[in-house]
Amino acid sequence: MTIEIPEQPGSSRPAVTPGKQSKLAFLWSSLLHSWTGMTGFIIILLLLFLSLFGQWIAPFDPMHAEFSKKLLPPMTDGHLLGTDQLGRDILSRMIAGARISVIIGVMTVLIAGTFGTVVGIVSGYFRGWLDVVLMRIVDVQLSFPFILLVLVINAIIGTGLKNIILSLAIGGWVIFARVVRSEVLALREKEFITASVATGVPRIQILFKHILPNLFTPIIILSSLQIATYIIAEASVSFLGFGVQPPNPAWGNMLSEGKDYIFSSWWLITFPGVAIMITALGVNFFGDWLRDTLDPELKGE
Amino acid sequence: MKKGYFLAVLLVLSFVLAACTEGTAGDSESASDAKGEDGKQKDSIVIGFESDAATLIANSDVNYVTDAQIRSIYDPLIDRDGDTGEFVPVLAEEWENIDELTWRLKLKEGVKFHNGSDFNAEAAKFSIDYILDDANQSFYKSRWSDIKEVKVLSDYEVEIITSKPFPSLIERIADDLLIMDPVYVNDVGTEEASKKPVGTGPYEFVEWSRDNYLKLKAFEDYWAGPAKIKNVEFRYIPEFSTRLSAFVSGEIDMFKNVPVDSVEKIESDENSKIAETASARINYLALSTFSDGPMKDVKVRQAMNHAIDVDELLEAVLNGHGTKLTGPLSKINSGYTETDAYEYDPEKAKELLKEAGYDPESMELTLDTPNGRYPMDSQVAQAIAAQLQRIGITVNVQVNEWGAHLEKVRNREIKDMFILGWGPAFDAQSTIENLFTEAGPYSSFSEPGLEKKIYETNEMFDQDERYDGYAEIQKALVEQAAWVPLWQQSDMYAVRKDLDFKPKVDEKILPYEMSWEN
Repeated sequence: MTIEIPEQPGSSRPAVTPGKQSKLAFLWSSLLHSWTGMTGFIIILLLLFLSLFGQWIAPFDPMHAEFSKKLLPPMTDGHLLGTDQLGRDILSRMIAGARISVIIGVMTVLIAGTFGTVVGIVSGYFRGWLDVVLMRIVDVQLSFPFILLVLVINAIIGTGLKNIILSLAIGGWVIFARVVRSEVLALREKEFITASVATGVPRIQILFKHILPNLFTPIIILSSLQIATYIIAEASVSFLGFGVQPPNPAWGNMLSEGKDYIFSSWWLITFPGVAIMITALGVNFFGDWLRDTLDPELKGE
Repeated sequence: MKKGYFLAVLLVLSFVLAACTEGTAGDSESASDAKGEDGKQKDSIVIGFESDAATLIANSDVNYVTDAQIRSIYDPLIDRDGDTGEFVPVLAEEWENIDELTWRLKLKEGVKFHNGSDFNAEAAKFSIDYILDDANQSFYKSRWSDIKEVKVLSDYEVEIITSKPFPSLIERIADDLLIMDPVYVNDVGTEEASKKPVGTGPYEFVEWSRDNYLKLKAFEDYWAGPAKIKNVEFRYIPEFSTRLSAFVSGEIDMFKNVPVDSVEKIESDENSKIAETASARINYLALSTFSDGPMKDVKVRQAMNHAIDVDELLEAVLNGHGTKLTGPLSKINSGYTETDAYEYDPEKAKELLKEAGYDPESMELTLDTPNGRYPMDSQVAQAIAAQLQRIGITVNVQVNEWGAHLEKVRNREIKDMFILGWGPAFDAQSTIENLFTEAGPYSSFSEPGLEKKIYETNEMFDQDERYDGYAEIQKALVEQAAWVPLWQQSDMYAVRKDLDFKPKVDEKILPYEMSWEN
């Protein structure tokens, strides 16, 4: 039997074909040509920078309440964005909030992504009754609105940073499972996989050597889009009082505390609101660009 | 792409249009005009509430929102003066105490219910029995459980017999009891009567749309003369900022619980004013002795009292809207005794903590607070956390939704401290027995010796002895640092400028006593 076995699955996935160096260069040049992608990239960089070095940049202690200086409008007494109802510096609280947003977004994607991917691979590759059971669980969970599910889980396990990450992950893994499974289903029918099976390559090796590398692109795209979803979900949940607890700053609870001052002190609610919007926009821009660039097949979906 | 632009234009246009209609309705001048059509006097009022009444049947739900609304439909036997809290006869003309276990009430004659039937002693008996009947699951039941029997002596005379001395019976009658029509309730059943209430009050029921509004109209045959304002609507707007914009736009004429930071905004509006009174409701920081934490130690509790600067909280967080409280009771209470306040003294607080064996720098406490239930509650909690931080204590604030908060307090699940309010309270007994005994979780403080004293005093009949008893208890509670007293809440109402309205200490909102000036 003479069957040509393509060592690299490049024929089906052009994205993986180029070597590491050229791939980065390719991405960079593509990024330079897309203004949305670039905008998103810059916003994300800024966010990461703030979350990593924010505590040295912030002009004030985000937790320090100076009662005599409450509700100062922006640009007074060195408070660039003003102070809140307890006299805390809004800029410093927003920077600290950025860190919390990033931690929550990234941690949730890591947990939900890992778990969802494992379930998706098992389900898609091994099929059988396990697939049926797992996918029905996914179906049932998908029939609940995401934010409602997160709130219910939060109400049960309690509030706080760890619990909010956990509840977002419990609510979010299904998307990963679904997407990964459908990718695996398509992959396992490809010639290079059938060929490997025919030549007697062990299943585990097929899984790790051939299937997993080909999943990176969709997982990275999905992750980048999901981070935005989680950041917004965290803001919603904190807004409703289930998430990060005051006095710890999070954009969601800053928004919620500020809303009663909307008529008298607009800066309390405006700046965190704008921050949430810009972040969501940036991550979405970047995710869209990534999708268009890495996976031409998905274009237009 | 073209389609996209078209949609965008359409969207912008719809916003502009929406803003226009909002604008025209938002002009309070035109709203007032609409009410006083053709120069006629305004005869209706819309009052905004944060939530719906739980039920419209009397004597069931203790929530102030429910009570504030149904008090226009039902009359009490005895009411309280809006300023002093003293008793005022309503459907009961006289009451006397025959002996320690017997009370006699003489009722008003010639009062009619909205459906035409007569008010009499049967109605009074029925209303009390309604509370006592387990089938009705009244929240008032526990406060009335010492009632043995209500006897009808004649058409307009009832006798109440208690199973043990019940010196605060008149207080219970004034604060809880509303009179229902036994004929009507038995006819239609409690289910129907809780949707379509019938009482002897100044307003009769028109329409109730759950979570939307309750509409009432003046009862023309009201025994004290018909109301000046003929149509009343209670409208439910849960969110504060929405309530405020509804008020500013003239959609509602008044609402209660204006946050202190919005006072200026309302006062600057030429058609609006703020009506303010010191309420019979107190706010406090409870220190839980029910859980095994540092608060079990009296020195730690005293340290908390020294470390928290209530004056600063009042000034900084509440903009001065509140009256400082120094002991367990507010001045408005009949049994109030002056007690010494703990001075703000962070150094002394640190010393006391060290004596108790705690290092403030390594102490970590939790503070539970509701959000939006009391004036600035969660802000107060954060400010307290900031004050305790000054002596090195780390405080984790936990903000709870109101229902969950109350549940946590009742289930004694709160670790160290929590914020809660109590009231409207006028007598020493209800506050002290509900707050400082093992049975009452609302301050989560109890001390066996003191508890015995409380129960003894509750049964004292002699007014002077009783007063002295409660005075001693108050002093002991302060010495024990049972809690950190905060303040007497300030009730603030946003009101149309031309509405004649006087806020009452007991949070009642009675359109019957209001009128439009013009």
